[in-house]
Amino acid sequence: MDTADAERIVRLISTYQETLYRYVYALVPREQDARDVVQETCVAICRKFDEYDQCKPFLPWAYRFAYLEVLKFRQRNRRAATVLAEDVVELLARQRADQSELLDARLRALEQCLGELPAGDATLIRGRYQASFSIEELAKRVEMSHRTLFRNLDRIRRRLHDCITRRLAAEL
Amino acid sequence: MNESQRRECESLVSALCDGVLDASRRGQLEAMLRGSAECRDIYLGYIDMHARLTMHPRLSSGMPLSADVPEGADDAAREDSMVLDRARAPWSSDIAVAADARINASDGIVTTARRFMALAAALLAAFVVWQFAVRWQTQLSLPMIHAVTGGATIQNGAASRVALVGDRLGRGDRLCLAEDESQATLAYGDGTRVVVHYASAVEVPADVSDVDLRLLSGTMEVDAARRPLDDPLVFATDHARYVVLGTRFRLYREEEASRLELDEGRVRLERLTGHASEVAATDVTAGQVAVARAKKDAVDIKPIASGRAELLQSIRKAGTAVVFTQVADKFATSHAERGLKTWRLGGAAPLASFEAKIGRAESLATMGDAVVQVARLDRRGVVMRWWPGTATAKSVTLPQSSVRSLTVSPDGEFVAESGDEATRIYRLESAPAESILRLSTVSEFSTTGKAWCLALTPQARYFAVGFWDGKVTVHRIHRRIHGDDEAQRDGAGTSTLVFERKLAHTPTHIALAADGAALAVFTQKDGLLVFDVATGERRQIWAPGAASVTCGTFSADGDHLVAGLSDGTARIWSVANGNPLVVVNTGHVPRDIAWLPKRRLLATASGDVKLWRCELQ
Repeated sequence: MDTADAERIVRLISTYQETLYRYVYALVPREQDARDVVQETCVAICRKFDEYDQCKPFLPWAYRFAYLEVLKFRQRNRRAATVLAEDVVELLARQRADQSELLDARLRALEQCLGELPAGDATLIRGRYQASFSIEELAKRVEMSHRTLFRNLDRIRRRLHDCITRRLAAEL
Repeated sequence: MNESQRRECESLVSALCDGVLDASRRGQLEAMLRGSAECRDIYLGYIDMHARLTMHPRLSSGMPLSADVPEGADDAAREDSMVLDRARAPWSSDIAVAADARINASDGIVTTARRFMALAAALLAAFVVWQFAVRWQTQLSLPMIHAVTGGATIQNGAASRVALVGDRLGRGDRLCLAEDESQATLAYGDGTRVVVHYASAVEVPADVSDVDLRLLSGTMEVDAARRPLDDPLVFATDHARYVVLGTRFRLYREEEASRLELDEGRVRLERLTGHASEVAATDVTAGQVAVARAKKDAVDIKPIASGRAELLQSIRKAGTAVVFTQVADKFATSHAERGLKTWRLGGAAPLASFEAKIGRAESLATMGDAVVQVARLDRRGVVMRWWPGTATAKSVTLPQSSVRSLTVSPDGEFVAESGDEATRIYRLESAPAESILRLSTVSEFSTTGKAWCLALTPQARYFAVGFWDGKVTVHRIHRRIHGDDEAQRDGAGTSTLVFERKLAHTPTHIALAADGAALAVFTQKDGLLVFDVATGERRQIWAPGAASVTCGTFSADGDHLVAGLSDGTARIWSVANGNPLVVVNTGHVPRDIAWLPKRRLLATASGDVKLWRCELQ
């Protein structure tokens, strides 16, 4: 691999790392596992970069490696509680590839929908994601039972999901 | 899925996000994901949102923290707010403690020297960080090629290279897309995407100015990320500067003007007034089009169109041609490799399929239940007529060995071909027992100029031809109809030239209203024109120099002209006054378009086929 290719691959991977992570996370829905799979995917991409046709979009090519790494991960962790069945992974991978553009559009709308959350909901979401509190810690801090906390997070996610769907429908 | 199943699916996915899904509920979720595409949609939407928030936790702090906890909110929430404040700057307290420790331990000259060295080290570190930040900021302000289809080149002075995915445009670099159907997407570090369409050129200014990208010719489409007010994204053309204030828009560099169409957000349009360096600024808001001309004309701002469109259905890989059948709730699609299919509106699966390699449709029509297409195979025209529900199609190869253009009449009964020998119109005939179609010549024209595009009306009463040299003609075809001896009984009929005009460039697309009263022509130099065939009166519908027309047709009643453009839009205009009625951002470059005014249904095809409901106001 020459210097120009090395530069290009670093640029591509750093640009698309988040997109790859989102793709992998849909198939391996646990943060640390998804990060491991993305790391393996990046290594595989670097190894095979010579085969990449640079006139074609990068992501569909990279997704193929990510999917293979997801399958390998499944093989290694068959008994883990978070691993989804292979046929489900396949269905999700296919549907996700079809909806790639739509999901990107949904994320753009997410920012606006987060801004519309009532203060209490915004605090919960920040506690869950920004401060990265564990569920136990967050429940203690907001003085809620686990059950109430889950119910509230479930409600907020539904609210965000519906808000995004409404915004996209209004855009068309 | 009913409402309760939907809720169940949402709750299971939410529990998965929080890591509290036990084995039995995981099995339940898997069963739902297997059985329901809607649950998979929910899953993908939730998980993608969760992944994004996990990766970019700051996104969840959309507003200042002090404003997050309202007056009267409980103490826990306030405490959270403070905790989160600390979480935002995890290093600050450690640094403070370390500094205190160092000060307490200091003594005499040694301490002073240490302090001096620490200060020098801090300054050096700050300089390195500043340098890095400057370089990083520069990198962020330069676009990278995110995707490219067809050929694109990057030019800088005399040097030129092929543009590849992952290349970054530097100062003075010019990205040129000359090839038909080429397109490049540029990505900025902040997530802004700029799609540059074919026959367009953009340049990153060589001088360090606040202009991020200059549109030299053609069209670009922008989906801009939010930026700080003091560091907005700035695009420019020869006519104006466009300061982007969080928005989605299309910018066109036409021959005599620059045109901005704003879908979302706000853009400040700035122009020099001619008095010293005084700048006149105008705000353009969502739903408006602003046309800035050369010289000192005022900027013309008006609504893009009064109507709206809603996406009803999108079918992946259905083909590059689409037509509504004469039974209004059905439509047909053609795919070069996968064959012909008919669909019911809203149906996820085709009603009927004829699966075969049939070539890329040049024109598609329906005749009663049958679907008729003309395609080019091995430089010859091939006509195919297929009755849905049957496993085979009747076909015929047209006589000319080197065909240039082909079309089929909207009623599927006539085809026209032009080649080196002549331009001919044929009637299609088919006997029930035969597997092939037969052709009978209706009219023949000697080639007095090479025909480049053709259009036929129903029953082939009128025929339009666009020639290489820019000439366009409309002919009234005389032929024997129901025993009326209007044409010669044997051999080809006759025709009368009813319209002729010479345009500045080769017409690439031509359409004729069903009654032959209006002719639409697109050329790169003239734009999209509509002629009144009887009076010769001409109206420009779309200016030249920016986006090109990729397909177009009149509505059956002749009231509307619809066209697909290279900027990914589909547009409907009123033929009576030329006003735009609807602009649809289709998300693909339409290769074929169909419009059913009574049902307000528009179909665009570009590999994927999309159906839209359009409200014309």
